Amino acid sequence: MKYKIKHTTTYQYADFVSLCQNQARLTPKTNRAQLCHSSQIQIDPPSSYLKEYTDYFNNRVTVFEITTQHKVLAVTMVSEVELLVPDNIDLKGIDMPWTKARDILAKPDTSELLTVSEFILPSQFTQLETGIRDYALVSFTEKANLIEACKDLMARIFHEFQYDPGFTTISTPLSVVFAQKRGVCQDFAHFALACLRSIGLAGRYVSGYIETLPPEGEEKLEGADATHAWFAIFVPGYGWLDFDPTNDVLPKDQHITLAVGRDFSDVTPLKGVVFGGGSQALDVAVDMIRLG
Amino acid sequence: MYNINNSMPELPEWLSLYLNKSHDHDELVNHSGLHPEHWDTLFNRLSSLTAEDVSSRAIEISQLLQNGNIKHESNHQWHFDPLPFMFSKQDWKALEAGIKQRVLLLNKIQQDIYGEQQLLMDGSLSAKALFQDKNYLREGFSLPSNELKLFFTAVDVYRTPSGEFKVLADHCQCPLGLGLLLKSRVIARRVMAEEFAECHVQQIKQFLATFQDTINEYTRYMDDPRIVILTQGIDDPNYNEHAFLSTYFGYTLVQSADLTVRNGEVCLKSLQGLGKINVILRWLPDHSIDSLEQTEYSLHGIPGLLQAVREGTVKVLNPFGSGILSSPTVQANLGLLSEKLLAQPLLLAQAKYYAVDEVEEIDWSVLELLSYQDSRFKLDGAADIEQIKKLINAQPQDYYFQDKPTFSSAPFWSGGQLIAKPVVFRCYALNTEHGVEVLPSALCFSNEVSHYPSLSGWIKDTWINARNGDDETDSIAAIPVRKRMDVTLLEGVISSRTAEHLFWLGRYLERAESTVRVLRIFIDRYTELAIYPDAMRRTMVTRLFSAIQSQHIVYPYIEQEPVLQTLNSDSAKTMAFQLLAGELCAGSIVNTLKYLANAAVQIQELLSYDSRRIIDEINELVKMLSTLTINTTSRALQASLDKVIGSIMAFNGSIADCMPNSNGWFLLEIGRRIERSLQITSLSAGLLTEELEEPVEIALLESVLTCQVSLVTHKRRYRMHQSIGTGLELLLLDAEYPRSLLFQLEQINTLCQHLPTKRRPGVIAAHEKAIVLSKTTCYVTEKDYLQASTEGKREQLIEFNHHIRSNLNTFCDVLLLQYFSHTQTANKLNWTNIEQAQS
Repeated sequence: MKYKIKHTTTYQYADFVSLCQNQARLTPKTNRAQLCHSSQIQIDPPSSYLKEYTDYFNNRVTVFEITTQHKVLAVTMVSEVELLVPDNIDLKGIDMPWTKARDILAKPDTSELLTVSEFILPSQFTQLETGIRDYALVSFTEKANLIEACKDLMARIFHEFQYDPGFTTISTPLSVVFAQKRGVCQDFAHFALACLRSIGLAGRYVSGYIETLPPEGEEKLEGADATHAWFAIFVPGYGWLDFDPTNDVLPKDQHITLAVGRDFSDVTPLKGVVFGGGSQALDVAVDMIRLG
Repeated sequence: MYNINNSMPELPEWLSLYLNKSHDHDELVNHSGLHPEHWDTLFNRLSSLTAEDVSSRAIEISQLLQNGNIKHESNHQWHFDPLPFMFSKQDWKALEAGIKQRVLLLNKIQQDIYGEQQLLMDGSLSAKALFQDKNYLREGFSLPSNELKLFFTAVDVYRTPSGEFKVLADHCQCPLGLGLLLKSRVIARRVMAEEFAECHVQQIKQFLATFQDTINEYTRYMDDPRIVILTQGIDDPNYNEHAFLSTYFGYTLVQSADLTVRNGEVCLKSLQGLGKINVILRWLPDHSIDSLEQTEYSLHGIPGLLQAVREGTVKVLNPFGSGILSSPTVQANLGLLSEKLLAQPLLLAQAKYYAVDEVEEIDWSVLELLSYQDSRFKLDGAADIEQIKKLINAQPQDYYFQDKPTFSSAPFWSGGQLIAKPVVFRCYALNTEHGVEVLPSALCFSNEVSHYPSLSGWIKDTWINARNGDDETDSIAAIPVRKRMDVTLLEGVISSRTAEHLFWLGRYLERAESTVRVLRIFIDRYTELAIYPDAMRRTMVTRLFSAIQSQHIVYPYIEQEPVLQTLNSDSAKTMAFQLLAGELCAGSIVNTLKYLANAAVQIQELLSYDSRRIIDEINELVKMLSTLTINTTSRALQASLDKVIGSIMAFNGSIADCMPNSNGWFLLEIGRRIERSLQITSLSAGLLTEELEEPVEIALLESVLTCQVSLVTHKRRYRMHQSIGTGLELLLLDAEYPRSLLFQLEQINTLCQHLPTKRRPGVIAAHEKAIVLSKTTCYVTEKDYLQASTEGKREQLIEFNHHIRSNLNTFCDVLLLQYFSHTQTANKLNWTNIEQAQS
């Protein structure tokens, strides 16, 4: 499956901005599940400086700077990504009790495990709140299989939490999300990560895109696709396995990965600092087109 | 016990008293060794001093120390002891070797943590602890590895009862105190010159030269390298030290807002525009140094700084990420790490770390509880038992125990005698290409409140004996020959912020002076009126009073038709008091002095020692003025006014020799001339625009002339023909007379040439146009034209003044916009977040 993605972020300011400095994590990853064939960033007004580097979590970061005076800034990333057909790994065949995974991670003896062990620790947005561990242990019963238990956790979040776009912002603490059982994909991912980490498992935050299909018989609207977030769990001997608690699916041919990190703060798609500008309005549009 | 050498003269009482007291473990009494030669020479010298002599030295020192600093509330205050600390040669050798080894080790650890991470793999460092340490900066991994080398570090050591030294803490981010040490050395050499010479104290100059050489290494291939010291600003408790180092090394002192990153290069916003910076000596912690890239947002961050480091266009010292080396995560394992990385045992021991379950409650009394997360957290194992229990029950993994340090004591002079205070030695080291160099001295300090690590309390200069010469030759031979760059050739760069403060400093100086003169003349004339209460005098004093009361002739120089106000003894008294000491009166002398001192603090690194002393006096004056009340006698007011003008004159004198075009001093001059021009026009507008009976007019003119220190000149020049016209001619139109308006404008015009301009020759800039316009008006105007009146009003004079005023305002506006526009601060862009993206 091949997709073309157009992701446009537009800022509108009340006053002129004289200088704008940004960092974007908008280049899709190339890994064993997907291949990024091309990616092209367009910035309007044009940037006077543009460079790339790879961050601690191996994400591509685009650094750019705009010195032209402007009131509107549009950043568009156009990329082509091929989702590789999953090599038909029989997940059922991975017979790994979650307690065994936990014990392996507790004593990292390879450099891969050492890197992974960082994802067991609580992070800024996944602080361990009271009750979270108990919530996790309902799925992760004593003898439970790692993947099955994680599927169960995902399903519970999907069924018990209400998807409510207006309810949370990025600064809503996890305890509120947990108590009210409401939020958006980002909150669900953070919550699931807090659950996994509370019992010694490694989980990471994944930012990316999801293809949305229009209701039967209707035409797909432009810009209707969305940036999305989910989580991945580390399965010793296999690697990272993605779970999407917002849709209760294991991402296969509709999810494209942009960046990974401990939580949202590591993968912020676009962040910046402006001089001047006054109040600002933000608009994001994503198009994900199947190329076949 | 201190062994008294037989050849020594008898010790003075103040010293033997201290030696005979019982001490826990004292440097002098218990640790001076069998042959305390290092102390003998000093005591030999001091034996002739009485207690009074020592006290007078202590007072001299405290004055010298205060004088060098402009006091600021947030700054640390220090007591500096008249008795230096002496290290024995053996002690120092051991310490020096230990420090060298330690710096090498720490540098290796830094390289590994932000590189291969072998130490995490083999378990020498706990990965879990490191990953959770807030000093572990993940941004460091994308930086070039040569940007991670340690540069300048400090280590705090203390002596244990058994005599060996133990490490209390490492400072690898921003090692404080070097400026203080330098300052105390300068004072010690002045107050104890003879002792200093006789004790053959090792010089610290070489270390400081190496400090600069090491920095110069980074800029070796550059034509005009720019090196800056980055400080948080005057709110930083250590701002004085930053300013001192800036003056000492000759590096520009900058704040975050002075720097901006363009095209991957760090630039200084200077008068000349943006100038590339090559090296930044940072005195800001690294976890919030880049407000774009780092999650922890700080007003003091410089957006894009890390990208510039990544590109290799700027060198930041100390390197990014070095804070991790002081973390307990690393510190607890230094012994093992030394064996592993250097294949040597750690020379300098340190207090042991214990996990909370490693020790029994019985043993807590000799321990203290510390936190992995918060470096300032500390609980006493004896005093805080209940609190400790609670904490370690809840989160045992966040805390650890450590032996309480057992500091040795040293004698400090206090209240006419020596008293014992616990001491810590802060030693400094440089990591250079040619190895580690240790500063042959230390900051010997004692924290009364034990509010560690905030540096405040008592300090001693620390002397290391260099006699016998054997080591000396060694150390000289070990220093390779280096080419020193001639830094004097480089023009000093000043930031726009500094430029603006200079401009305002000039304005406040002039404003304070003139306000004093206005108030003086008022008090004088008013007192006269009480003695000779005739109608002519009353009219004249009432006009003077009204012009001051409605702020026509004092700041903010309100431009308005004069309105007469009621003059009586109450209103006169209130006005005089308000203008001198009123906090609510915008142009009061006390307020102007406050602004003045504040502007001076902001540029203190450019001021000479003497100028800084005067600013200190001005601060004292401000305090004194706030004690005045409305009932203070006019004599006392006059006396205060004399003091103010004395200080202003002294300050002007102290900066008179500063070259007007280097370091932006011409801006101070421009500020001064602008303010004076405003005063002259406002005085003539406020007092001379109405046609009055001749004696009243002349009396008012004389007041104006007195305010402008021009009365004598006017009398001598015009003798029999004095009139408003001649007064106006002298004050406004005479291009040769240094106090005239036209002279000020000419000066401003000339000074403007120092302002960088991007215009091509032959075209003049907007601010210059305003000045040229004013100048021309002055040149083409005749005194009779200004004096002429219609229906009792000098409309043409009013018009003239208004024209000049609006041009001066235009000039200031353009200056602000074109040259001082540094004040814009960065706003954070709303991060695109999923929720917004989906709605």
